Amino acid sequence: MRAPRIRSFGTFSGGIDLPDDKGSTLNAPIGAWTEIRRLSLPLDQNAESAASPIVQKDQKVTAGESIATGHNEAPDIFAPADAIVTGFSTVEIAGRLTTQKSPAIDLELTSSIELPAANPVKPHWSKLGEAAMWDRLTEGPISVHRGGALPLAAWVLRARSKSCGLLVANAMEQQPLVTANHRLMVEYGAEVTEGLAILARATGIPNAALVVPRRRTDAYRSLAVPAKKYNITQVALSHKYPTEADTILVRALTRRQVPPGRTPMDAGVAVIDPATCFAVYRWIACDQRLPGRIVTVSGAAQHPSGNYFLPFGVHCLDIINSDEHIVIHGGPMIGALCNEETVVTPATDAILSITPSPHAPPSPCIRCGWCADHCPARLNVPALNDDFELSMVEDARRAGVSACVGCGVCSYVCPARLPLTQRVGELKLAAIDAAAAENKGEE
Amino acid sequence: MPASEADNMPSTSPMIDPSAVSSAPFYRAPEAVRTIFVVTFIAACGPLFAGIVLFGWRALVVAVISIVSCALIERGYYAVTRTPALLGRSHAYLTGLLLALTLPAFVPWYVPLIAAAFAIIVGKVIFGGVGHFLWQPALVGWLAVAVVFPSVTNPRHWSLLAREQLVTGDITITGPPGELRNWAETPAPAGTHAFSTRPPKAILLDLANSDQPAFSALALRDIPELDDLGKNTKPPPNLPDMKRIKPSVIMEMPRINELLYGARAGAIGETCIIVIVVAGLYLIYRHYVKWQLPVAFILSAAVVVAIAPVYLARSGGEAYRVWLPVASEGFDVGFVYVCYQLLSGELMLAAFFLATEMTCRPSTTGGQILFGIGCGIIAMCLRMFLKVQFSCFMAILAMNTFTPTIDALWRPRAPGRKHLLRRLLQR
Repeated sequence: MRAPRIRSFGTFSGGIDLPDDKGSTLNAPIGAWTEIRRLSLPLDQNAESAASPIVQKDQKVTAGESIATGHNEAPDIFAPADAIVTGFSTVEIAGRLTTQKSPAIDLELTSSIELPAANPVKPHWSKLGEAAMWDRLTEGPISVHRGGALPLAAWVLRARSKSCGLLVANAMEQQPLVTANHRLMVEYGAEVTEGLAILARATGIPNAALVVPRRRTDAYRSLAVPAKKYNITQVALSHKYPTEADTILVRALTRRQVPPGRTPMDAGVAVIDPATCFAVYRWIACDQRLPGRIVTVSGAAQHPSGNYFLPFGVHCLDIINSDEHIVIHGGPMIGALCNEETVVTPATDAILSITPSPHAPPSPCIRCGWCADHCPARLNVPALNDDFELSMVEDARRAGVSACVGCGVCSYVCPARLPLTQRVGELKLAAIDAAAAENKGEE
Repeated sequence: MPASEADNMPSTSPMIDPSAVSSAPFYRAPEAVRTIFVVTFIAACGPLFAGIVLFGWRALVVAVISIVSCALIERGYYAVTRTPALLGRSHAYLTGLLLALTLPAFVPWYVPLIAAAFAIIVGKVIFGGVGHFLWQPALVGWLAVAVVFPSVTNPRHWSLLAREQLVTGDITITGPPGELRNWAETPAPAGTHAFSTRPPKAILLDLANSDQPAFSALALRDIPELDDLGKNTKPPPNLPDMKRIKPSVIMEMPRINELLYGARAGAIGETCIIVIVVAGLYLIYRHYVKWQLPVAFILSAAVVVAIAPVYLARSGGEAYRVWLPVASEGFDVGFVYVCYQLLSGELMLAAFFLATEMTCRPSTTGGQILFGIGCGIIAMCLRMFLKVQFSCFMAILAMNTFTPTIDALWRPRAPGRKHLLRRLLQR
């Protein structure tokens, strides 16, 4: 596929200007959270194929020991620290479209987990051959750090098979309160850039771009040097939410439209996020397995609000436990409520506690049309709301409901306080199921 | 709440929605349905206030009867049918106010009461309340009384308070019917508070009436032609000083500045153009109204007025049907004529307040432009060809009927989907 051109300008119809309210976490350095005692490592980050555990209950494991073997698409799972296996349970993790259940191994930690310092190994990764690079990638326990948590090797294979022409690191972090990627870019920006270069090499994509919000460009000036070294284009896009959604980002960047229900790779653009680039750099260039990721924590009792390195598998309610406030994982616009089973996964970028306000019931739709005006996917949301109330999935499918990016803008602006995002999301799931059933019937 | 959290919460107050805490987003924009109705109500109070000044305390009485009876009737309906009123009374207040704006100030007390009953019951609640009705409820109420009481709601001569009687005057104490050219400098007839005069749009309507070519021309004419014009032209008041006489349509009409600040015969809310436009601009600023809809409405009305034929008298007193009046006697004259047509009726009130009712306008921008164009064309065609008074209200009711169709036809295009044209060609 011909490489898409990057335009210096770019926008899309719809969207809103969210208040740029990052609070005190914007300038809080990445800290360590040492009080963690128990983990539940999900085995099913892929949703398609769970890894099989190879440990018994009450078995002692040491850091870096393999505790579950994956196959083909699921990476192996390693113990993040010295620990004792206390049993097996079910956890809830963020999937690509909705939250999902996954089997998990419970661990009782006997040592603490911290973010190790970078320690590049010889030879430099650029000396690695293509086969050696591929071997390293498949060995690594890296998942793509976003919903669905696809193993990185599978992601690279997909990018190669679609012959993408552009690799984009999406550092647009626009939701209020979420600053994990921002702090990562500020403190480990050079490593992120290098990780992006590694990925460009692994996928064989000639053009790579680092996309940052225009409001934060001052903080990223130091990235110009490594970006130039690895020939990475730096792009600053407007703060209009949701530029951070992949399909919208691709549209703003290249004017290419992703067909409804498809991924940006179908438009020739591979989109990755800085956290994955960081993990890739630590694995390929430093030979370090990162047992966790940077997460914005706001409203916890033990620590002030800030950005912390949290291991995968830690229970969200162990981090924040509040009776007065609701606790969510993910940003305030697209996140989900935490329950007892929710754990931190590669896709978790924030754990926030939010105060509910007094009750105000939804009222009937008054057809103001603001949701359709602001929808970045140009969906006719009032009509989809009718479709939801009448359960007309086929109608919604024809209207292109699978183009919904789940950004939450329609619910945000709705003066009738209707849960439009949830309704359109359910229609989208139903439409995807219907399409899958149809394909099966044709075969 | 821990202090660290307090300083981390957004300060620009995105409200959190508790009814949907089970799903994202956890922030909501502060705008609520009730805010929309209350703010629109406050904006519509501007024309009402102007109406009270221009038409006296009876305008206030009409408005109060209308608003209170709308609220009570809706409440009574929900009490009788035992369904919960979902949006409180804010929309009923708004409907009552808009209804009052469309009525004359001199109607008897039972007219706004009956109009309110029709507006709420026929126009609103039997469709299922806010969000479901097909026609603008206030106009449904207006239509009912316009049909039932035509002599009260649309008489031949309307009254207008004299300058010294503003606000406090009683608009029903009128002098004999007559012409009113210079409102600001004309005192009221002795013992009365108000003039009785024809509304300016009725005077303009005579232009399109072939039976009585009451007006000679739109344009300025040279004095030698005065004789040819004969009985159709009034002699100008200061003839010796003028090289050219004024066109008689402007002679009979109120002056344009009086049209702008509303000193003319008309319904309570329709006369004061300046206040209507300012209030409408505020609604546009609040995003309650898209500017495309009133602009499309007014522009398409202007185009129809510029084209539709009028009867002009030429030499010898004969009347000729002239198409394209905007160009027939020069564009400067035509422009004045079009402005008179747009400002002398209920068009501005209709375009900014009545056509923009959220529930019965199309939801997309393109659909609203289509809706506005339809309203403008129908309104002016009704007025110019069929001599319908209050044609703008009729046009809005007519276009409301097509709103679901426009919504079905004019949809935003989801990304990655083909343009309609290309899709049709491939079929």
